[in-house]
Amino acid sequence: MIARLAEAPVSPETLAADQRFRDELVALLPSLRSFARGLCGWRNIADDMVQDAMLRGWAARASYAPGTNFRAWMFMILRNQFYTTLRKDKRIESWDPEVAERVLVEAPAQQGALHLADVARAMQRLPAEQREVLMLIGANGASYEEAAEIIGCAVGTIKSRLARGRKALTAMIDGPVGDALFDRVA
Amino acid sequence: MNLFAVWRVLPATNMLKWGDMTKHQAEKGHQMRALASDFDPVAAALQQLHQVVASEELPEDFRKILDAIDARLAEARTGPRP
Repeated sequence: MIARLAEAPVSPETLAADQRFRDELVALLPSLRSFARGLCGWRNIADDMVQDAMLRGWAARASYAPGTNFRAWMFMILRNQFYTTLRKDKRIESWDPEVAERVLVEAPAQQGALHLADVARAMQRLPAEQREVLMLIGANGASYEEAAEIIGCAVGTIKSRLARGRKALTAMIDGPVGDALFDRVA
Repeated sequence: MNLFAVWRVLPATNMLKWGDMTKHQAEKGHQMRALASDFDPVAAALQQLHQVVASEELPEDFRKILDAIDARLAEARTGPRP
């Protein structure tokens, strides 16, 4: 996989741009990994997808216009990677009771872990189109516009998917919509 | 000394401070209620999900790719190794 990094000699300007690209990529890795993990639920498959997106992004870096939204550009590559993997690997869409443990390898506190496990489990039961919007906006702090750019749809569609995803997620975790997620007691 | 006696001996400045503190507490309470009504449990849980993954140490496979990228960059700077 790393052999794909081989390439022709570059000018000093290109070299500087490549270095910036590399630095931005490193800074974005935590977000890419959490997005992938939230999308597929499998730690190893998610990390493979991110690694593949890294390599694809690096290979296509000449097509990235510096100063534009690097995050959206990389998320688009990763999202495409997810749907390609989804078509090949049916495990990703199938429900597994241990999914939360795969998503959350280590939780910061036991009480938090219980709640997070609920959320992670519920997330994997949502349709992928709602999951990706929740992960982009809710978890990664993307704007509606940025999410629309990444997914390639209208802002209205994003809002609608987000609302449906939130409603379904809340209903799955706490029953009726409106109940507080963190008021649950194990 | 009963509470009324304490009240009587408190200097006027303390009385003002008491009044300011009460006002401050009321404002703080108002702010806390506003925060509570703005609290979004779904967003908080999703952000926490993100934090759990984002705070993990980067796995070795990622480091290998970054090392390979760094090696390419170093090679481009200094020319290919003989």
